[in-house]
Amino acid sequence: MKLLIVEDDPRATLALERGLRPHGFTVETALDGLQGLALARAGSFDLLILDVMLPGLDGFTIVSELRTSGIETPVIFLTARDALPDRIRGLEVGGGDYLVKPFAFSELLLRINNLLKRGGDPGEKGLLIGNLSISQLQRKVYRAGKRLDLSSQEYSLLELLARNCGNIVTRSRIAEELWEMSFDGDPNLVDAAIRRLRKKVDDPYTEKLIHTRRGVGYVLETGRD
Amino acid sequence: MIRLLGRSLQVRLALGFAVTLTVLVGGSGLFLYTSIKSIVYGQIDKEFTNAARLLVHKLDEDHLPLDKEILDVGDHFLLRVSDLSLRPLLETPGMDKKIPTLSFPPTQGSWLWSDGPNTPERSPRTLLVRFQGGWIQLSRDLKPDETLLKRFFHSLLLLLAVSPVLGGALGQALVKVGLRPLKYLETEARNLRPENLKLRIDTSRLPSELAPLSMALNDSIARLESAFRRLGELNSDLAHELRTPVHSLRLETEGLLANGGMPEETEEQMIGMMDTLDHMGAIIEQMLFLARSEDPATQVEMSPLGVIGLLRAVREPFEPLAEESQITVNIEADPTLELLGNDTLLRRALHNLLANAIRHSPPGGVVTLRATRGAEGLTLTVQDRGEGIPPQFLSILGQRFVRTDLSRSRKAGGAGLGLAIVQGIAKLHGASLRLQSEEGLGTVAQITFPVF
Repeated sequence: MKLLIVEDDPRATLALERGLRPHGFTVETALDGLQGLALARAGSFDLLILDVMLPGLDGFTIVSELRTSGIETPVIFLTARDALPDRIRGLEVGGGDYLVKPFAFSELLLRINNLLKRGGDPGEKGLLIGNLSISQLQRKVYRAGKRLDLSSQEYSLLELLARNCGNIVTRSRIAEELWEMSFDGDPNLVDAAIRRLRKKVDDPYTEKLIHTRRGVGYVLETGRD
Repeated sequence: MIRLLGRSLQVRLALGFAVTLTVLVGGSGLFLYTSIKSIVYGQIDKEFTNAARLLVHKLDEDHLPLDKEILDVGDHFLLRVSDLSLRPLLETPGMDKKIPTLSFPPTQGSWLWSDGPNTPERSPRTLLVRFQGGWIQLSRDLKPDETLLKRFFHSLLLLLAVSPVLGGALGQALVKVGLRPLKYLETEARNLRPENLKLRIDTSRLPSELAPLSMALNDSIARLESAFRRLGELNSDLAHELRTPVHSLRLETEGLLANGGMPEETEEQMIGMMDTLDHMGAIIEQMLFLARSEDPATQVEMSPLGVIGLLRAVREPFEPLAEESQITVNIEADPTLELLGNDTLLRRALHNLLANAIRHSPPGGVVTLRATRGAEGLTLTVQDRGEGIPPQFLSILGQRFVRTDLSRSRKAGGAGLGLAIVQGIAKLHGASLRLQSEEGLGTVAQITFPVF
């Protein structure tokens, strides 16, 4: 998989590059919009990661230029929180996804994986992680064949973790997906919600599925820790 | 007393008026009195002279006989005609009882005043005039004139006594009227707030003497305004500049952590670093949010919102935490209530208030989210029965980076910007935030939206 990162902060670019390589990505970088557009046109990338605010050419212009040339590479925009109208514009241009700075690396990784496998396995109706099974149509959860009685909030949280099984889901993502909190809330709220979920999903069983990635978020997976 | 004197313009001016009026009345009264006195006595002396001349003429030129007709010299005068050795020949009846006869003639001169001319000291005044056959003695009782003058003098004294009081009162009244433009200046100056530094004092409504003062004030306000703006810009620039490096550091730290292979202790430290960077990032975002909310160009998209749905959405994220701490969060609202506002912003404001309320509630406590409609408008209330806020903190709570309990709030991720953000959001909605608290009884936070 080949990625292009266009971001004018060299340190952030380097950090992203270093973080993505171990996950099997080939990464090229550009520090300004013009260079980024040239690279995006020349090389065949699987995904573009574009900062919205760029010297030379902004992220949106790069994507419109590419789209008019018939290049449909999926894009993840990186945008500042105070550029809220940009979010909408980013999606209108046909970018695909966006991330609000500051974001966690694991969040970016999750979005990349989602975008790259998008179209791969559509219409999940059921999820199975170890002996935990989730029926998304009925919003019902079973563990070791036994039905778990979850509140609507607990179910949504578990489903969110399960859909991203094996990937870290950050606390801010949980807050946003679960409660539409697009602002910084108290991280304790998510922790409390997880604790309540664990009581029903993990506590009665020897094998724990919900794991804490300290400082980052939570991950649902089998056979670790 | 002296200090009071020195500090009140009104007292100083009134006192000045009193002294000035007294001196003026006293001075002019004295002048009037002396000139009237000299006019009166001058007139009397002139009458003396005329009468004497007429008599001498009658006796020496016309050689009229010494009889009663001669004595008719006017009601005010007493007349005695004597021979050369001053033996009385004829006199106004009863004169001998009032004016004694002179025992010896004057040695020189033919006109002689009892007290010299123009210096009528004693009553009666007497003029002795020589004619060919002897002496004429004219006398006049000055008592009525003296009484008149005395009465005039007393009136003057009364006026003099009244004038300080009169002057003081007049001064006070004039000062009051004169200082009215200062009252206007005061109300104008009172209206100046950091958020309306665009305001200037209308100099056309002030007297010309106050124009330099008000212009100087306006200049100061202009300087303040630009300093304030620069400060705001600095804040937002600073936050902008810090955002990128903090973000990069966080990414790098997370990357290092993800690579693994570090001793557990190092890993712990790096997680701590990441927490701190998250905290910094949150402060930066909040500062940028505040800067934007203070920018007059900022406009928020508003739509009609169901109040009860809004309150429920605010409560939802807190449910697990409240459950753990056995805190009950009640909602009291009429389900039909609606509000024109920005959903995200209002949820953020109420979220901050509810977070505070829960943080300060003891286990088993009750927090209430309430919506009421009153004369002032629609009020959203967040009420806790926690420990309350000490009064010394209550007034400064809306300011930035103010926390009542440093250790606890810091741990919970607060930067002391929460209430400033609530205030900013309220302002964007034209609403007002009010905090009331009593130690030991709890805190009530209210956002009131004006009625449209």
